Amino acid sequence: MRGKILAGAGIGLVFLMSAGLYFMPEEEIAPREKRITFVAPIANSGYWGRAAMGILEEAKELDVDVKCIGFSELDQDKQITYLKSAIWSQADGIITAGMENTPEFSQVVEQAREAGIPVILIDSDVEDSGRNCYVGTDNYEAGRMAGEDMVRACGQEGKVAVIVSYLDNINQMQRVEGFQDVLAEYPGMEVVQIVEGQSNEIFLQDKLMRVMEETPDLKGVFCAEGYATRCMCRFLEDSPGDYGDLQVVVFDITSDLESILAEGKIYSAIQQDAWQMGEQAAKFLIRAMDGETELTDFHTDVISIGREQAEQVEKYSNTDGDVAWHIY
Amino acid sequence: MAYLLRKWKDNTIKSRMYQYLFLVIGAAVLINAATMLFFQINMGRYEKTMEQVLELNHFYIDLEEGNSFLGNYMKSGTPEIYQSMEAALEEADYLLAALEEGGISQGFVRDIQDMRRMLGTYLEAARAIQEQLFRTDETGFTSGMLETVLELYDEAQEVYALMDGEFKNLHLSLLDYANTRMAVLNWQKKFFLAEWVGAILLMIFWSILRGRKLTEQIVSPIQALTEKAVEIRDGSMAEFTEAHIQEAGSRELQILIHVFNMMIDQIQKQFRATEEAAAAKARLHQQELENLKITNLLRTSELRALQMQMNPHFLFNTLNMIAKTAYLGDSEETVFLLQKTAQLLRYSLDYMGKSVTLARELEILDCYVCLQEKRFAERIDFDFDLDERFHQVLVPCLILQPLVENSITHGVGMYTSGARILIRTRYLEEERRGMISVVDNGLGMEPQQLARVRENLDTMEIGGASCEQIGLENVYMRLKNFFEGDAQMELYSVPNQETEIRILIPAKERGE
Repeated sequence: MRGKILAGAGIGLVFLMSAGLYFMPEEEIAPREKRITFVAPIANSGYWGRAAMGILEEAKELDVDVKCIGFSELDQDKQITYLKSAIWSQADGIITAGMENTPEFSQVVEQAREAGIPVILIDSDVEDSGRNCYVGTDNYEAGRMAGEDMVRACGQEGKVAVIVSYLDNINQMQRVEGFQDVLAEYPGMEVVQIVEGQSNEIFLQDKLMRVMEETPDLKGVFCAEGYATRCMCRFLEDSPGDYGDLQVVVFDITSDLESILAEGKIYSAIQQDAWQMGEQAAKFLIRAMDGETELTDFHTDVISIGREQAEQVEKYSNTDGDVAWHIY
Repeated sequence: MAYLLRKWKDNTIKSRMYQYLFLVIGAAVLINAATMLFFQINMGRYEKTMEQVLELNHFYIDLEEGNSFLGNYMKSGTPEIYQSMEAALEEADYLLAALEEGGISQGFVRDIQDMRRMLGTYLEAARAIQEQLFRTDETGFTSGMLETVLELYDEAQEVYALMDGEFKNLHLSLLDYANTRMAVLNWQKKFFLAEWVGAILLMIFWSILRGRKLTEQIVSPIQALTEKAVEIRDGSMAEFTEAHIQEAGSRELQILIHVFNMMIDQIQKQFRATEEAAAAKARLHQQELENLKITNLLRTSELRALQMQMNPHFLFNTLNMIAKTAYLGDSEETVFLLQKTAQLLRYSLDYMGKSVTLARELEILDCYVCLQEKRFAERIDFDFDLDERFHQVLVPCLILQPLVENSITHGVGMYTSGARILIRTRYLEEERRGMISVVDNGLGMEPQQLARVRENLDTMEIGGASCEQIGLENVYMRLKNFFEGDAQMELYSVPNQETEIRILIPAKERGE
């Protein structure tokens, strides 16, 4: 009896102490030698979060410090400023996403090159910016994949609308190009309009309604980017009208929208592997930092997920762990 | 050490109390130490973070100062201002280096590193400006140079703006971090309070359990003892069985119980011994009683029977003699004889089994002697030699007559003449005893016969002896009974000369 009580008290004490350890501050870790900076267009836990996780994972193995910079909303000027900040901070390498092909962007990449800092672009490419290499989706091919899905969904004929964020977004336009090229092979298929959503939900939905009014026999919608996908899903869920016949192919669906895919309201989702992008980008960057100059672009996996494989969305969109974003 | 360990384990109440105290104090110290440690670590971290915030502030002040110096330098070009700027920036760099190497929280290391590199870039730009301006002093001012200087200054300002923004972010983040530390500290305080309360409750609970157990260990043996004691008080000691105590009981109580059991065992043994002794005594008493009864029987019925047996024999002879006398026609003599016989008979009837004075006994003996004188006429000569000093002593009746009869029967009965019987009393002053003796000059006894008779007298074996001695033994027995053993009968005999039967009884002189 006495032994049991003693043991109980001992266990209790140990438990209390270990609970006390919960409050212990994290250990101080010696600063890492190599520092790389990842500048993402948007700081989120979704797509860019996964990319950041990929980088962090790879960097952890190689003992490289990663600073993740992101923005609360798309802002090219800010992105350029913080790319400059990374250069002035004498980072050992930079990973960022390409954007509109402006002189400022090329200039900042050039500045990095002058400072001897390699730059790897992920997600979207700016080929003539002087970056070391591009790691990401082959957007044209991804567009073709979406086009094939759409043709199959519509039964080879019908009118289709396309939603993009901005018409000057390179990779979206590459996707649209691939999409259109596939549709062009089928005489019955026709792209009636490319809608510019401008990453604004109300604006986008308004435009979409108008397209549907203008084209009553609209058979399909292709969302060429993640934000449009999100808006489309909400539109399908919340709108009072019946869009059962509308065939929807989307890009970069997130796991919280998985049920919509599973219900069949969306025909298929084209998923990019952001994690792989980050991981491969980190690998390439470290090769570049080690002095390798001849780097070829790397195309990461793209997969089309249909209704039956809806559970795979989870695999392509979950983010285990938090990214300590520096949000500006 | 070994001694202490033995003490610790010796299972006494004291050692148990010490064990308990030691454990409680140990646990308290341990919890306290852990609490203090955790608290100190977090507190230290918080204070360090606050220090870092201050250092960062200093850095910022230096940076601002440096930047304004750079502005002034741009306007004036004075080397002293440039020196001040460099000094300020170097101070700022020193502070950042201190922060970088001094172990700022992990999340901020990279920011400090970046900040420091940016400061380096800024300083480079400033130096480049100074170089340009210095060259300007030597070679004169050109528009290209102005452009370069302005470009450099713009870059420096851009870097400065970034650093400014970065500082503000970092400052906020650090404060935020410090705040979370503080929050954690507050939580920790609450947690440790809860932990303490929990620990105290646990200890109280434990104490209660422990105390109960300890008390039980003390009380239950005492209770057992008490129950046993009550059992002994109310019941029989003989039925008492050992008081038992559980094995875990403390040593003191085990000893107590052991001693108690031993004591009771001892008492029981004593009890039994006493009881046995009492039983033996009772048996003895019973036996004595029985003996007494037998003696009484002797005293009463048997003796009476013997007396009765004696009387007819004598009466027959006497009546025979009286008849003879009557036949001879001596009426006077006959009357005398009858008177004496009647006297004798009355005496024996009246005093049968009672005591009489020796004087009275002698009186009656005189009657008897008279009758015998008549019977034996000249054949036996009776003499009395009396010492009357003790004749008031009480004796059983009819003790002398059998002695005289015995002397006649066994001593002088066969003599035709010259027989003599002397009845003598003497008071032995020194011994305070009276002596009565009957002496005859008859046949007497051979030494062997004398020894046998004496032996028979000593053992009082009635019936074992020959019929002749029944009278003697009877007298002796009665005397012994009467004087409770303090009477002697002695026999002396020289064959054909003299035989003496002597009785010694306790006596007092008359008037004493």
